[in-house]
Amino acid sequence: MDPLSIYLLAGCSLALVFGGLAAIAATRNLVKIVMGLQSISLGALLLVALALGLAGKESYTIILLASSTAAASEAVSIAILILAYRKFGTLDPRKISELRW
Amino acid sequence: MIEAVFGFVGTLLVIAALLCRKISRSLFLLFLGSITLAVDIALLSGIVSGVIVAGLYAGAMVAMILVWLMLVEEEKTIVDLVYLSSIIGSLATGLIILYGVSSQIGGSIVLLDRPIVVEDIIAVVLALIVSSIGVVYILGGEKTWTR
Repeated sequence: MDPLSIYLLAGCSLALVFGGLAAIAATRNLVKIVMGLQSISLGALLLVALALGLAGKESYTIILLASSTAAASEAVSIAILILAYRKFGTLDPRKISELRW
Repeated sequence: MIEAVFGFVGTLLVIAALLCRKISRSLFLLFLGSITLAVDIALLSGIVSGVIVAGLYAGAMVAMILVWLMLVEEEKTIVDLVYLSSIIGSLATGLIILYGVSSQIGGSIVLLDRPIVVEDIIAVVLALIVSSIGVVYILGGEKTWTR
Protein backbone atom coordinates (compact mmCIF):
# COMPACT_ATOMS: atom_id res chain seq x y z
CA MET A 1 0.00 0.00 0.00
CA ASP A 2 1.37 3.42 -0.92
CA PRO A 3 1.94 6.09 1.76
CA LEU A 4 -0.78 8.36 0.35
CA SER A 5 -3.42 5.66 0.88
CA ILE A 6 -2.18 5.04 4.43
CA TYR A 7 -2.34 8.73 5.33
CA LEU A 8 -5.74 9.08 3.65
CA LEU A 9 -7.20 6.11 5.54
CA ALA A 10 -5.76 7.31 8.86
CA GLY A 11 -7.18 10.77 8.16
CA CYS A 12 -10.56 9.24 7.31
CA SER A 13 -10.66 7.32 10.59
CA LEU A 14 -9.71 10.47 12.53
CA ALA A 15 -12.41 12.43 10.68
CA LEU A 16 -14.97 9.77 11.60
CA VAL A 17 -13.98 9.87 15.28
CA PHE A 18 -13.97 13.67 15.55
CA GLY A 19 -17.13 14.00 13.43
CA GLY A 20 -18.91 11.62 15.81
CA LEU A 21 -17.66 13.56 18.83
CA ALA A 22 -18.84 16.82 17.28
CA ALA A 23 -22.25 15.31 16.52
CA ILE A 24 -22.58 14.11 20.12
CA ALA A 25 -21.58 17.52 21.47
CA ALA A 26 -23.69 19.67 19.17
CA THR A 27 -26.92 17.84 18.47
CA ARG A 28 -30.35 18.20 20.03
CA ASN A 29 -31.58 14.74 19.09
CA LEU A 30 -30.80 11.48 20.87
CA VAL A 31 -30.90 9.54 17.58
CA LYS A 32 -28.07 11.73 16.28
CA ILE A 33 -26.09 10.92 19.46
CA VAL A 34 -26.42 7.19 18.75
CA MET A 35 -25.34 7.88 15.17
CA GLY A 36 -22.31 9.77 16.50
CA LEU A 37 -21.40 6.75 18.64
CA GLN A 38 -21.67 4.56 15.56
CA SER A 39 -19.41 6.95 13.62
CA ILE A 40 -16.79 6.79 16.39
CA SER A 41 -16.80 3.01 16.43
CA LEU A 42 -16.60 2.91 12.62
CA GLY A 43 -13.51 5.14 12.77
CA ALA A 44 -11.90 2.87 15.35
CA LEU A 45 -12.71 -0.22 13.27
CA LEU A 46 -11.24 1.42 10.16
CA LEU A 47 -8.02 2.18 12.06
CA VAL A 48 -7.80 -1.41 13.35
CA ALA A 49 -8.41 -2.77 9.85
CA LEU A 50 -5.71 -0.45 8.48
CA ALA A 51 -3.26 -1.71 11.09
CA LEU A 52 -4.13 -5.32 10.27
CA GLY A 53 -3.80 -4.65 6.55
CA LEU A 54 -0.38 -3.03 7.02
CA ALA A 55 0.75 -5.99 9.11
CA GLY A 56 -0.48 -8.38 6.42
CA LYS A 57 -2.73 -10.26 8.83
CA GLU A 58 -6.35 -11.37 8.49
CA SER A 59 -7.35 -11.45 12.14
CA TYR A 60 -11.13 -11.33 12.08
CA THR A 61 -11.42 -12.14 15.79
CA ILE A 62 -10.31 -8.62 16.74
CA ILE A 63 -12.80 -7.13 14.29
CA LEU A 64 -15.51 -9.44 15.66
CA LEU A 65 -14.75 -8.37 19.23
CA ALA A 66 -14.71 -4.65 18.40
CA SER A 67 -17.80 -4.64 16.22
CA SER A 68 -19.86 -6.82 18.57
CA THR A 69 -18.96 -4.49 21.44
CA ALA A 70 -20.03 -1.51 19.32
CA ALA A 71 -23.28 -3.22 18.35
CA ALA A 72 -24.03 -4.08 21.98
CA SER A 73 -23.41 -0.51 23.12
CA GLU A 74 -25.64 0.74 20.32
CA ALA A 75 -28.40 -1.67 21.37
CA VAL A 76 -28.19 -0.35 24.94
CA SER A 77 -28.29 3.22 23.60
CA ILE A 78 -31.40 2.47 21.56
CA ALA A 79 -33.07 0.94 24.63
CA ILE A 80 -32.22 4.05 26.68
CA LEU A 81 -33.57 6.20 23.83
CA ILE A 82 -36.92 4.40 23.83
CA LEU A 83 -37.18 4.58 27.63
CA ALA A 84 -36.32 8.28 27.63
CA TYR A 85 -38.96 8.96 24.98
CA ARG A 86 -41.58 7.03 26.93
CA LYS A 87 -40.74 8.84 30.16
CA PHE A 88 -40.18 12.39 28.92
CA GLY A 89 -42.00 12.44 25.57
CA THR A 90 -39.11 14.11 23.80
CA LEU A 91 -35.78 13.23 22.21
CA ASP A 92 -34.11 16.54 23.05
CA PRO A 93 -31.30 15.86 25.54
CA ARG A 94 -31.48 19.44 26.84
CA LYS A 95 -35.06 18.92 27.95
CA ILE A 96 -34.21 15.61 29.62
CA SER A 97 -32.54 17.13 32.62
CA GLU A 98 -33.10 14.57 35.37
CA LEU A 99 -29.63 13.10 34.94
CA ARG A 100 -28.07 16.57 35.21
CA TRP A 101 -26.24 17.14 38.45
CA MET B 1 -5.47 2.79 -3.81
CA ILE B 2 -8.99 1.35 -4.06
CA GLU B 3 -9.01 0.96 -0.26
CA ALA B 4 -8.37 4.68 0.17
CA VAL B 5 -11.14 5.53 -2.31
CA PHE B 6 -13.68 3.35 -0.46
CA GLY B 7 -12.57 4.79 2.89
CA PHE B 8 -12.86 8.36 1.61
CA VAL B 9 -16.30 7.83 0.08
CA GLY B 10 -17.55 6.06 3.22
CA THR B 11 -16.22 8.85 5.44
CA LEU B 12 -17.90 11.47 3.25
CA LEU B 13 -21.22 9.58 3.48
CA VAL B 14 -21.00 9.25 7.28
CA ILE B 15 -20.08 12.94 7.74
CA ALA B 16 -22.95 13.90 5.42
CA ALA B 17 -25.24 11.72 7.55
CA LEU B 18 -24.13 13.51 10.70
CA LEU B 19 -24.63 16.92 9.10
CA CYS B 20 -28.00 16.13 7.51
CA ARG B 21 -30.93 17.73 9.33
CA LYS B 22 -33.65 15.23 8.43
CA ILE B 23 -33.28 12.00 10.38
CA SER B 24 -34.68 9.73 7.64
CA ARG B 25 -32.08 10.92 5.11
CA SER B 26 -29.46 10.87 7.81
CA LEU B 27 -30.16 7.21 8.64
CA PHE B 28 -30.11 6.29 4.96
CA LEU B 29 -26.75 8.04 4.42
CA LEU B 30 -25.28 6.41 7.53
CA PHE B 31 -26.42 3.01 6.26
CA LEU B 32 -24.69 3.60 2.92
CA GLY B 33 -21.54 4.90 4.64
CA SER B 34 -21.41 1.91 7.00
CA ILE B 35 -21.71 -0.54 4.11
CA THR B 36 -19.01 1.31 2.13
CA LEU B 37 -16.68 1.28 5.14
CA ALA B 38 -17.41 -2.43 5.63
CA VAL B 39 -16.27 -3.04 2.06
CA ASP B 40 -13.14 -1.03 2.82
CA ILE B 41 -12.49 -3.13 5.94
CA ALA B 42 -13.00 -6.27 3.83
CA LEU B 43 -10.38 -5.04 1.39
CA LEU B 44 -7.96 -4.19 4.20
CA SER B 45 -8.22 -7.16 6.53
CA GLY B 46 -10.15 -9.93 4.84
CA ILE B 47 -13.60 -10.82 3.60
CA VAL B 48 -14.73 -12.30 6.95
CA SER B 49 -14.03 -9.05 8.80
CA GLY B 50 -16.01 -7.09 6.23
CA VAL B 51 -18.95 -9.48 6.46
CA ILE B 52 -18.92 -9.24 10.28
CA VAL B 53 -18.88 -5.43 10.23
CA ALA B 54 -21.50 -5.20 7.47
CA GLY B 55 -23.79 -7.67 9.24
CA LEU B 56 -23.58 -6.04 12.66
CA TYR B 57 -23.90 -2.49 11.37
CA ALA B 58 -26.68 -3.28 8.94
CA GLY B 59 -28.58 -4.91 11.83
CA ALA B 60 -27.95 -1.90 14.03
CA MET B 61 -29.11 0.46 11.28
CA VAL B 62 -32.30 -1.54 10.76
CA ALA B 63 -32.93 -1.29 14.52
CA MET B 64 -32.35 2.47 14.38
CA ILE B 65 -34.73 2.88 11.43
CA LEU B 66 -37.38 0.84 13.24
CA VAL B 67 -36.98 2.91 16.40
CA TRP B 68 -37.22 6.14 14.47
CA LEU B 69 -40.33 5.00 12.64
CA MET B 70 -41.84 3.80 15.93
CA LEU B 71 -41.18 7.08 17.69
CA VAL B 72 -41.91 9.62 15.00
CA GLU B 73 -43.63 8.53 11.82
CA GLU B 74 -47.33 7.87 11.66
CA GLU B 75 -48.50 4.52 10.37
CA LYS B 76 -50.17 4.70 7.00
CA THR B 77 -50.58 2.19 4.22
CA ILE B 78 -49.06 3.21 0.91
CA VAL B 79 -49.90 0.87 -1.92
CA ASP B 80 -49.02 2.25 -5.33
CA LEU B 81 -46.93 1.36 -8.36
CA VAL B 82 -43.70 2.45 -6.67
CA TYR B 83 -44.49 0.23 -3.66
CA LEU B 84 -45.12 -2.85 -5.79
CA SER B 85 -42.10 -2.32 -8.05
CA SER B 86 -39.81 -1.69 -5.07
CA ILE B 87 -41.00 -4.90 -3.37
CA ILE B 88 -40.40 -6.86 -6.61
CA GLY B 89 -36.95 -5.24 -7.02
CA SER B 90 -35.92 -5.94 -3.43
CA LEU B 91 -37.06 -9.57 -3.64
CA ALA B 92 -35.25 -10.06 -6.95
CA THR B 93 -32.05 -8.54 -5.52
CA GLY B 94 -32.27 -10.78 -2.45
CA LEU B 95 -32.80 -13.86 -4.60
CA ILE B 96 -29.80 -12.98 -6.81
CA ILE B 97 -27.58 -12.51 -3.71
CA LEU B 98 -28.85 -15.82 -2.25
CA TYR B 99 -28.14 -17.51 -5.58
CA GLY B 100 -24.54 -16.21 -5.57
CA VAL B 101 -23.98 -17.13 -1.91
CA SER B 102 -25.32 -20.67 -2.41
CA SER B 103 -22.90 -21.19 -5.29
CA GLN B 104 -20.02 -20.02 -3.07
CA ILE B 105 -20.79 -22.32 -0.13
CA GLY B 106 -21.11 -25.46 -2.21
CA GLY B 107 -24.72 -25.49 -3.30
CA SER B 108 -25.91 -27.45 -6.29
CA ILE B 109 -26.25 -24.33 -8.47
CA VAL B 110 -22.83 -22.91 -9.43
CA LEU B 111 -22.85 -19.21 -10.35
CA LEU B 112 -19.20 -18.29 -9.72
CA ASP B 113 -16.60 -20.96 -10.36
CA ARG B 114 -13.72 -18.70 -9.32
CA PRO B 115 -12.53 -16.73 -6.27
CA ILE B 116 -14.36 -13.51 -5.33
CA VAL B 117 -12.62 -10.38 -6.69
CA VAL B 118 -13.11 -6.66 -6.06
CA GLU B 119 -15.57 -6.27 -8.94
CA ASP B 120 -17.89 -8.84 -7.33
CA ILE B 121 -17.87 -6.89 -4.07
CA ILE B 122 -18.64 -3.67 -5.97
CA ALA B 123 -21.54 -5.43 -7.72
CA VAL B 124 -22.95 -6.63 -4.39
CA VAL B 125 -22.60 -3.11 -2.94
CA LEU B 126 -24.48 -1.69 -5.95
CA ALA B 127 -27.19 -4.31 -5.47
CA LEU B 128 -27.44 -3.38 -1.78
CA ILE B 129 -27.71 0.31 -2.66
CA VAL B 130 -30.49 -0.39 -5.15
CA SER B 131 -32.38 -2.61 -2.71
CA SER B 132 -31.94 -0.12 0.15
CA ILE B 133 -33.39 2.63 -2.06
CA GLY B 134 -36.29 0.25 -2.64
CA VAL B 135 -36.68 -0.15 1.12
CA VAL B 136 -36.78 3.63 1.53
CA TYR B 137 -39.53 3.78 -1.08
CA ILE B 138 -41.41 1.06 0.77
CA LEU B 139 -41.12 2.89 4.06
CA GLY B 140 -41.77 6.40 2.84
CA GLY B 141 -43.42 6.24 -0.55
CA GLU B 142 -42.91 8.97 -3.10
CA LYS B 143 -43.13 11.68 -0.44
CA THR B 144 -39.70 10.66 0.88
CA TRP B 145 -38.06 12.30 -2.11
CA THR B 146 -40.30 15.31 -2.50
CA ARG B 147 -40.36 16.60 1.09
